[in-house]
Amino acid sequence: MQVDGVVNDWPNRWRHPDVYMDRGGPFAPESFIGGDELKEFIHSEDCKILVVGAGGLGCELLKNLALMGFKSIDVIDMDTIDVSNLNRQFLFRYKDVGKSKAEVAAEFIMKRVPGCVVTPYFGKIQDKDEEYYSQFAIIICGLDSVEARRWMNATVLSMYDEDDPSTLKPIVDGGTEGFKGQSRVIIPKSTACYECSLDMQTKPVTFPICTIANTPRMPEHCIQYASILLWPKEYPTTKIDGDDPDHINWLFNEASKRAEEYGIRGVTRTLTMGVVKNIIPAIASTNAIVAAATANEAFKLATSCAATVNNYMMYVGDEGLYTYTFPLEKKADCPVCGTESVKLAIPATWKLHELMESLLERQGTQMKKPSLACGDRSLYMQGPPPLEAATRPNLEKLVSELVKEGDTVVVTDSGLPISLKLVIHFE
Amino acid sequence: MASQEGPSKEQKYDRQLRLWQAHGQRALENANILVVNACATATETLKNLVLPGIGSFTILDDKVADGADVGNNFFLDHTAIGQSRGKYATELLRELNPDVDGFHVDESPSRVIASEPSFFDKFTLVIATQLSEADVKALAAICWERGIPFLHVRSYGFVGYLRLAVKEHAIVETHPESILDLRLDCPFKELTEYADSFNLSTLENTDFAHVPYVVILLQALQAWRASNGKLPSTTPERNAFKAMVKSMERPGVEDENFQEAMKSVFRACSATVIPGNVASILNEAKAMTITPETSSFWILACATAEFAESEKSLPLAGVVPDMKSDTESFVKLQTIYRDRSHQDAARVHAIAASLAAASGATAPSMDETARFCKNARLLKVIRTSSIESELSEPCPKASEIGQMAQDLDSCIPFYLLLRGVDAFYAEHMRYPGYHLEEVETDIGLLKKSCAGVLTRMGLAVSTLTDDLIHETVRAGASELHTMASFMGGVCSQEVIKLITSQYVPLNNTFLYNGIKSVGGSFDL
Ligand SMILES: [Zn+2]
Repeated sequence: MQVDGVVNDWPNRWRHPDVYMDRGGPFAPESFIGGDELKEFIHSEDCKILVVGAGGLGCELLKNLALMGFKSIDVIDMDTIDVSNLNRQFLFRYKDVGKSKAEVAAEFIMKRVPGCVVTPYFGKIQDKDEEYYSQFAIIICGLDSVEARRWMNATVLSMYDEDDPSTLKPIVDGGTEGFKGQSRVIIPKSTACYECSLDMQTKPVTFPICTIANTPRMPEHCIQYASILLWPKEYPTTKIDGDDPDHINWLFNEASKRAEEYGIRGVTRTLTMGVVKNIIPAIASTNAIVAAATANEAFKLATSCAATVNNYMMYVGDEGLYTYTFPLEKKADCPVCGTESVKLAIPATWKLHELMESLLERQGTQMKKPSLACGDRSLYMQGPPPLEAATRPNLEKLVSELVKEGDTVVVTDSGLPISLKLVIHFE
Repeated sequence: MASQEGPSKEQKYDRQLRLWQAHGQRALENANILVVNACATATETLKNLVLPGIGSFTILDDKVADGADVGNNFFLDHTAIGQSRGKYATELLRELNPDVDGFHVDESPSRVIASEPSFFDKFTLVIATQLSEADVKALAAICWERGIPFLHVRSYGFVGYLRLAVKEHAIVETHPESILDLRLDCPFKELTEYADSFNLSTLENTDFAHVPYVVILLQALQAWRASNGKLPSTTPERNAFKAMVKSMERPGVEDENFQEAMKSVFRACSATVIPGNVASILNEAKAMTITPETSSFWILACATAEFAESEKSLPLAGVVPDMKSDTESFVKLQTIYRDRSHQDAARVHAIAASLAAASGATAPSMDETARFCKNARLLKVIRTSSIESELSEPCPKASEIGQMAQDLDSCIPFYLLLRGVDAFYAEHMRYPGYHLEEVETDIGLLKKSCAGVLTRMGLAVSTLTDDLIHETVRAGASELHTMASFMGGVCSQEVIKLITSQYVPLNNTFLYNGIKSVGGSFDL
C-alpha cells in the first residue's frame, strides 16, 4: 500500500467505477472497450481534466472526479475564500478565509484522496493559452460568470481542427441559482455551444435610470440611486467594492436616507449587499446535484461506458422535484460555432449611433461598448482616445453613407469573446 | 455546540438565508436527524445538511469499513479500513461545521428496527440507505406511526431512487415567483376611495403618465359596472372592456401604465375566489377539534376559516408589485393594501389566540400569523402514500405503472428493476452481478426475481426488457460516487424543504437515469 511513502491504491479501492469499466452492457456504446487498459487510462496523465472554478461547483467537481478515479486534475480560480462561501464550499474552513480557492481546494483533495494530483492555478483563465488548454481530455466549467464561460467556450471551440481529432475537447458545464440548476455537454461542432444558448441566460434586473432618479418606488430603486448616481459623484475615482464593509455601510446609509425621504420601506443591509453585488442565492444541495450530474457526464465521456446526456439537463427543486432533459439546437448563425453569417436588416434612415444602440439592446450578445469596422475602415472606435475622437463624427452619419448593402460590419466588444460579423441590409 | 471564535451566522449563511430566512434557519438548527448506514449516498446527503447548519445528526451503522467503502466515500479515509464506518464518517462530517453536533450509534440497524422502535422517537426526520426491503418496510412503518418524515434513498449503478413517506406536511411559504392579491374585482372601501380621488381628465400629462394601473383598472371597472351591472366575463365583454380601457388613454402621452393595465385586464375581470385546495384545507380545519397538540398551521387554518366565513374572502396578502407610478401614489397604494392586510392579520390572530386559549394550545405568534395571511392563497398540505400501501400486493398503482412503463423515456422501469433487485437479494442474500464471474448466471436469476415481483404486483412480465435486466446486473450493486453525490444532493434538498416547511417537497418518488441524465417524479 505504501509507495514512496505515499499511500496509494488499496485492495478494492476502485471497485465502484471499475464495475463499469470491466463490463460491457446493452447500454454501453459500441465504441466501449472495457478492461485494464481503460482503467489505467482513467488514472493516467493522458486523461487529464481541467476544472474551471473552485467555488461551489468546483469543490464538488474536484471531489467527484478524484473519487471516480481521475488522478490528474488542474483547477483554475482567480478568487479568494470569503466567509459567505462556507455554507457550501466544503473544502474551505474559517481559517482559510482570504486564501486562494484553487490552492486550498487542491491541497484538501490531495490530502483526503491519496494518489490524486491536483494542480492549482490562482489566476484568470485568460492568462493561459491554447497550448495549456490543449493538454486536457475534458474541460469542466463550474463558473458563475457568463463572460468567463463565453471566453472558455470560444477558446475551446477555436482550438478544434476537424482534420485532427485530438484537438476536439468536450466541455461539460454546470450552473446553479437557488434551488435550480443545469448541466450540459458541449461537443464542438456537433452540439450547441455556450454562445448558441446565450439568450437563455437570465439577465440581472436593471431599473430605468429615470425611475431611480425621479420616481423611486421599491427599496432596490433607493439602493441603486446610492450606488449608480451618488457614489460616482462622491467618490469619482473609487469603484464600489461590494466586499468592503465601509462601502456597503455608506451605500446602505444613503439608500436609507432616500427611502425615508420618500416613505419607501424595506431597505436593509442584506438587500443593499444583494443589489450591489448582484448576489444569487446558493446552497450546498443544488451545487452537489449539478456538480454530480456534470462529473457523471465527464466519467461517461472519458470511459465511453454509457451514452452522454443529449445535451442539456435542467433541475428545478423549489416546487416538487423536476428535471427536464432536451437537445439544445445549434444556431446556424452562432458567432462562435455557426457557419452562416449574421444578417442584420436596418431601416435605411438609421444613423450609425442608432445602429450602435440597437446592438446594445440585441438579445443574446450582451455587448457593452461596441467598436465597429468595415473592411479596414474604422466606423466607430471606443479607444484609444484620438481614434475615438476621429471616428465620433461618423455616429451622426447615415449608415448607408458608410457601408453598402451586403457589406460586412465587424463588431468588437469587451463583452464578446470573439468579433461578431454582421451583414448589413437596408429595409 | 457553539463556535467560540468564528464568523457570524448572518455572514456565513448569507447565501441560504436569502432563500429560507432566519425562521427557516432556526427550524434547521432545531432539527435532529437520523441517517441509517454511512455509505457514500448517506454521507453526501449529510454533507449538504451539516454545511447549512442542521442542529444535529446521528448515524446508525455497525459496519466495518472496507476498501471499497473508503474508495467512494469522501468522509472516510484509508485509516478507516477495518474500523467502524459510522464512527469515522461522523468525525469527518463534524469537522465541516463547528455549529453542528454529530453522533454515532454502533448498532445493527436491523436489530434496532426489529426490537427498539422507541429509539426513533427523538428524531425530526429519518433517512435510510442500504437496507433490505423488509427493514425499509419496518422502519417506514415505525416512522409513519410516529408522524416522522421518512426518506429512503439509494444509488444503484447509474440509477438513483428517492422515496418520501410523510403522513402530513403543511406548507405556508411555497415561495412563488410573485404573490398577486389586488382585489380589483372587489375593492375594499379605502381602495375605492383612493381610486376615486384621481380625476384623470384634469391631470397634467406627466401626472397622467404616472397614474398606477391599479387606479386605471379600478376606475374602468367601476364605469363598466355602472352600465353593465357585473364584471366583464365573456370574451366579447372582455374585448369591449379592453377597448374601454384603451379609450381612456391620452394620445401622445407615454403609456407604460396603460400597457400594464392592458396586461392585467384578464386578471382584473376574474373574480377573487378562495382556491379549491385552500378551501378544502379550511374545511378540514373547521371540522377539527383543537387540542394542546394541534400545530399552529391548523390553529391558523381554523382561524382563517372563521375569518373567511364572515368576510367571504381570505385575509389580504398586502403585497403590491412594482408598477409605473410616481413615488407618492405608489407608496400610498402600498400603504392602503398593507394597512388592510394588517387589520385582517390582527383579526385572524385574535381568533387564533382565543381558539388556542380555549383548548390549552400555544397561540401562534403575530409574525407567524402575518406570514400565514400573506400566503393564505397558496397554502399546501402534502400527504404521501405510505410505503406499506405501496408494497401491498397486488400493487394499488399497478395499472398506472403499467401505462407509464410503455413510454420508452420513462424512469418507471428502474423502479421495477430495483424491486426486482430487492427480491433477488432476499432470495440469494447477495446482489446480482456483484462479482464479474456471476454476471451471466445472474441475468437469468434476476429475470426470475423480476418476473415474480411483476406478477405479484399485477403487471405483465414483459414490462421489463432483457436489456434492462442485463444492464441492472452489469451495475453489480456499484455505488458510483457521482450518483451517490447526485442523490445525496436531491435527498438533502428535500430534507431542507421538509424541515423549514418552506418550498414544496416531492410527492413521493423520484427516479433518475444517470445514463441519459433523465429524471422523473411519480406518485407511487
Ligand atoms: Zn454556437
